[in-house]
Amino acid sequence: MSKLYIFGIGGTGSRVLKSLTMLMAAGVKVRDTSGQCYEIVPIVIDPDHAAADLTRTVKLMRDYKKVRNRIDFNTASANTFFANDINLNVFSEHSNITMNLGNTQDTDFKTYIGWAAMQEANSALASMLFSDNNLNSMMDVGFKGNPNIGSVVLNQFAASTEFRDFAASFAQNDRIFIISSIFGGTGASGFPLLLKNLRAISNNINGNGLIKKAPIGAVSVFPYFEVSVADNSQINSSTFISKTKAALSYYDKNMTEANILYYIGDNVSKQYDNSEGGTTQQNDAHFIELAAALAIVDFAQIPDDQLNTKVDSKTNTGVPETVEYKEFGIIRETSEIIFSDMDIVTQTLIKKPMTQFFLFCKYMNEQIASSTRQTWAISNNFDSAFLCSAFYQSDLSGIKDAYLEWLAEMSKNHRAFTPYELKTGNNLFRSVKGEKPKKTWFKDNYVLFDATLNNTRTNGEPEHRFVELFYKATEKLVKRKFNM
Amino acid sequence: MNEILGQIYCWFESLFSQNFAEYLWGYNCDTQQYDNPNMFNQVGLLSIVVSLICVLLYYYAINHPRFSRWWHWLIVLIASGAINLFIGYGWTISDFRNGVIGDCLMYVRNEQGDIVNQLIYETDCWMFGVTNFIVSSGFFIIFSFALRWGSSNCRYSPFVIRP
Repeated sequence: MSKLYIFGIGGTGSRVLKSLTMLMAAGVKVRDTSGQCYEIVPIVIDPDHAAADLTRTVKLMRDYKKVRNRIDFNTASANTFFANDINLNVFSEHSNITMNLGNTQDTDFKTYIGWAAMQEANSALASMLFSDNNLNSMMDVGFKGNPNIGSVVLNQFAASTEFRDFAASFAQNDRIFIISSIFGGTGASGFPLLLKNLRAISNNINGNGLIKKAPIGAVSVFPYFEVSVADNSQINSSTFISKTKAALSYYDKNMTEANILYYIGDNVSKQYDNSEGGTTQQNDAHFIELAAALAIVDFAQIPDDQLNTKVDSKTNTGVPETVEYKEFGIIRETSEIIFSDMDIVTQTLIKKPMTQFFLFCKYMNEQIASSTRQTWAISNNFDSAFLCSAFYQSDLSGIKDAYLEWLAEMSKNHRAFTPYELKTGNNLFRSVKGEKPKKTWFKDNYVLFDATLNNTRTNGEPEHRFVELFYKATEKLVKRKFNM
Repeated sequence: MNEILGQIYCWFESLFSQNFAEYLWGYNCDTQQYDNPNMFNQVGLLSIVVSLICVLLYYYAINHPRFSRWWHWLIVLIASGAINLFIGYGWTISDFRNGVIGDCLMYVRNEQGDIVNQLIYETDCWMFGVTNFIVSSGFFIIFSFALRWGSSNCRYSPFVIRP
């Protein structure tokens, strides 16, 4: 199985990875042109290890991995929930997906660059490049929207053990994708550096030849939120646009290493509480992150012959034969996006799987406790012991809660992505906005759901049976009610 | 074989009179033979058909996820039994009222031909209906366990049998 290494840089990187994980849980496949699913290898580059966005994403991916490990994906399996495998153990020294940036913990930037030991001329130059606030910034909460700091700190990761582990594991037909924001600190500075380090990877590192010529895609996220003004914060969203312009100007002249570059942004934005980092940096999920995750799905499906890269013999760096730029759009200007506001290609890609998984999650949330005497539950021994197992209670329910929370957060954001009515108690099939469910006599709502489950057969281990049962049942339901 | 149903009904013979049973067996007072139609077979076969239809209705026509607990099955059983109760009662009460039941079975007469004692009452018809309720419920139970396996929603009603 080929691997798709996804570098998520900064908070936006983590949030887009979260959206991608949600899509994969729902059964959106990240696959190549032959239909083979990629093994996803997420690598997070973020000095702010305590950022809530990062810890939420890591927990979600661990739950995803635990659930997926219990599901068979043999040829007889119809299920596509959790179809892509995730590799969370690419690093040899630890089991985190976060790349360590040495000496950034409990250190301010001044100490990090060795200000005290600098000669007078060097310190004078440094003071021209970095303000007092920059110099006194603590490194362990990220770069607080200062790419000039990030570009110094992140330039070291090519020498890290994790980078060598990544290079050593890179194989023929693997691909690389980079997620970053253009308006902050970590992403804006990390993306160009990472790209250059990949294309100009040292010959002393195992796997360098493949990486230089690897197909690389990247998504750069434009400002899509603002933060409130806070006197004691170095992050000021009024600078987001100017930073974006400055970065784009740099990209225009220098960013030619990626085969495909996706741009995504919005002129509507919501204001979040100002947080410089740490456990309080937890932004609500946003449609832009979902759209950015779709860039990864799109990139995976591009044929190899459109992603050719050769090695320049003079500079010994990888140079793509062509650089393609892509954007994402919706077909209708609206503050509350539903599926019918999307292009048919996007609808085809996500509407059915997301709706199936939504129905699955709603059933687990609202109905399953009342249906343990149903035929499907008795036939498969899905009794109270199963529903109390770690698989159900912790792993699968963890994904379920996160998925519903993700949808809820997107639905209340600006611009909102609100394809479902999330309130409980409504008719299940009227929850899909913009879709008129077909009438079914005598059986509707969860009654129809139970009847469909009762009419569905699966084999294998209990955990596999459970997920496949719901996949098959929800597939029948969306076909019957919505003709999806 | 021809008497199986009658024998089953006669397990509950204590509920109705001996003479009423003779009438049901088809006793003819004129010929003193059992050459009238065997009512046990007629009522019994109809009860079997009614029970079968009720079972098929419950497991395959209604076949509803919210009508699959043991008490739902019991409701259908009682409904099936009630229908059969009235079939048993209705079938015999018309003969009773129309004087179809042989005189030798109905009355004890003295030498002058006056009625000394009545041997069959309307209560016997009701009690035969009750007997039909019980017997048909037995058929309902047998059909339930024989036929429920193909039901998608009510397969485990009234209760689960683990191998």
